[in-house]
Amino acid sequence: MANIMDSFLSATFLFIVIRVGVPLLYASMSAYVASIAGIPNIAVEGIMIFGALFGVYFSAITGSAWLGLLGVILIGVVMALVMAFFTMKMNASPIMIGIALNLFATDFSVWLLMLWTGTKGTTATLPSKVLPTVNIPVIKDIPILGEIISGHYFLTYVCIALAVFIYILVYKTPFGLRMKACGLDEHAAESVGIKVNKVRLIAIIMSAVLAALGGAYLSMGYMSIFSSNMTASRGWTGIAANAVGGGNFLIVVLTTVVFSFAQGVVNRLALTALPSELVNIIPYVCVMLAMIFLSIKEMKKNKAN
Amino acid sequence: MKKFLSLLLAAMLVMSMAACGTDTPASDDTPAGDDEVSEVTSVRILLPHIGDQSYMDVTANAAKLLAAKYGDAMDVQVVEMGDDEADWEPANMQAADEGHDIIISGNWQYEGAMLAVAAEYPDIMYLNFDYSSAEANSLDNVYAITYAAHEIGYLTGVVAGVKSQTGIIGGVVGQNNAGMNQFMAGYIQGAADANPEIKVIITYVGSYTDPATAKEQTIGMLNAGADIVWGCAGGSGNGVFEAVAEARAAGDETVWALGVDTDQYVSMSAQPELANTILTSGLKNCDVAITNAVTAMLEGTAPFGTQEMLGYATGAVGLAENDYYLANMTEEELAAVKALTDKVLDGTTKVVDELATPGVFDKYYEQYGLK
Repeated sequence: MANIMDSFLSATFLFIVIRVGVPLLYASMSAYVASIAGIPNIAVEGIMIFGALFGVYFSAITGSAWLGLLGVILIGVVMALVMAFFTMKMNASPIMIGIALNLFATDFSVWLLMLWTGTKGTTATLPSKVLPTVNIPVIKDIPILGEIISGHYFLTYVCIALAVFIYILVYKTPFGLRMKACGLDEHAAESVGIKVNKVRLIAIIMSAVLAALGGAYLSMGYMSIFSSNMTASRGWTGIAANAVGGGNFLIVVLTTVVFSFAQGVVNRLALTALPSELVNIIPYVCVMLAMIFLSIKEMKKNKAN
Repeated sequence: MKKFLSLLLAAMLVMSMAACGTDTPASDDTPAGDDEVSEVTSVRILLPHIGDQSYMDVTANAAKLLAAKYGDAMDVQVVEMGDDEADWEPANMQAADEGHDIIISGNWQYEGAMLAVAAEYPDIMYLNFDYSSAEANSLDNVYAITYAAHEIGYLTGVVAGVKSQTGIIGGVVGQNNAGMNQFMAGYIQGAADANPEIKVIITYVGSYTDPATAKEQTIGMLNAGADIVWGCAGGSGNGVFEAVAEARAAGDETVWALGVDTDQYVSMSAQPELANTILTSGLKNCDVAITNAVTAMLEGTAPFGTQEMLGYATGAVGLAENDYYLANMTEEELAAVKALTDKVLDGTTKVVDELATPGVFDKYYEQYGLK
């Protein structure tokens, strides 16, 4: 037991936490960006599946991982336009569209898989490419720190950069303020001259591209092939993290980090003789605890007021 | 507009009733009599889907084996019923209505749909190619077979035990249930027979479609010193190959993955760095078993109303002894594997069966699990 505790304090463990946490962070950022602009995106899971599949497919037909990545961004934009069309032009409920897109992506991806590879399991028969692993010069030679933050997949660093970008965008720019205004009250936003639909369209596009990148992380780095439904509910975990955060980006990121730690602990404890059912609930228990903690805080704040 | 719509609906109703009217006598015309059997035997294999590069595809391959064996004397086709459970009984009903001689379906998941219909059509011979409930399969027109999963586990475990240099092996399992632990109890027993000092790490992914988690668990096993990992987890198993491929790319050529159900070295062959991790696979040869069973049914020797568990001795389960396997095993290793597996063949080694004696997996894991 002692050596298990030790392994949680090691640099390798933190490296693993980052590795398992990145797809979750993509998902929670995706959910966050859309929800603060007032269009909840619950299609994160479905868009991730498409991102994962199309990245592999485009990299296979073009022979380049970078063109594959471009394809991922494109499919994200296409999914965003579909969502925007139905929610903003046709006034459909974003929740219904989200459900529809999730169901659609799950089955349509398998159909495409069948079309392209003749099988429904994996893209193992496609000559797909993976994005490179990045060793950061100088930092990689620093003991401990180098072990933790160097040597990750390319999309890991993109994810971190995007997190910083979103923080600055939402909290430090006028556009971020407009996004929040649209989320709080679209009529009020409109009355002060904000083009609500335009702001929301941009938010949805950002959201869908983030989700698609999260999928590509899984199939073009973490794994080297797509296998059906490989996102395994990571999108939903992201949506949960966003719900815990309640509009505060830092709490959303923090919650995702807690989930990632929990997932890392689960993966480590799986190797022990502890009952797997018990171990597998750790992330969910963390969600519950985080929710309880936040609502207590909220209650205290309300009382003080 | 409204009037037009209602007219249209009425017309459709009439048409569909007319269609029923012509359909019924047509299906009555198709006899399932004995004189028909002697000419062309009509066989249908009902599966939810094909194309999984695994279990379903091996089962569907029985159609090819049967066609090769019987040629024009047999009309055999695979029917995809779809993954929606509600469609399985209608699909079975339709196949029975078409009046085929033999209908092959079953397996724990969708045998219920087949058996419900089989009870109504006593003239059709049914083959449940992978039964789970013995009582439900006791109908007079149903012959039910299943595969000795524990023997698959044993054979794979022997290879792992013989090949492991560190004396630590792993098993990445889809879900923690008796069916999966049946594989794993045999795996541990086989490995322990090959190397009594063996230590085993078993993890459960909790999903058959989460290769990322399976990869993390495999990396953990490799870090703990395991050098052979069996991926026994459906689509999640690909994560095992990814983790082992990474270790091999980093220079450790002594680590290996093992596959399950089909020869995964072959199904992964377009991705050489993944395929090259797969030393061998534990096989469930549903196609061979189905072909043998159909032959027995046509010759009148099939024990209808009873259930059979097919093991290594019948060829229904085995190891993928492809060229890659033979090239990467030394003479001594192959001899050691053969010595142990031959004992299963002649019955001297009894492989423990978690389903027959629940708790045996826990006992073995208690003894050989890595502490």
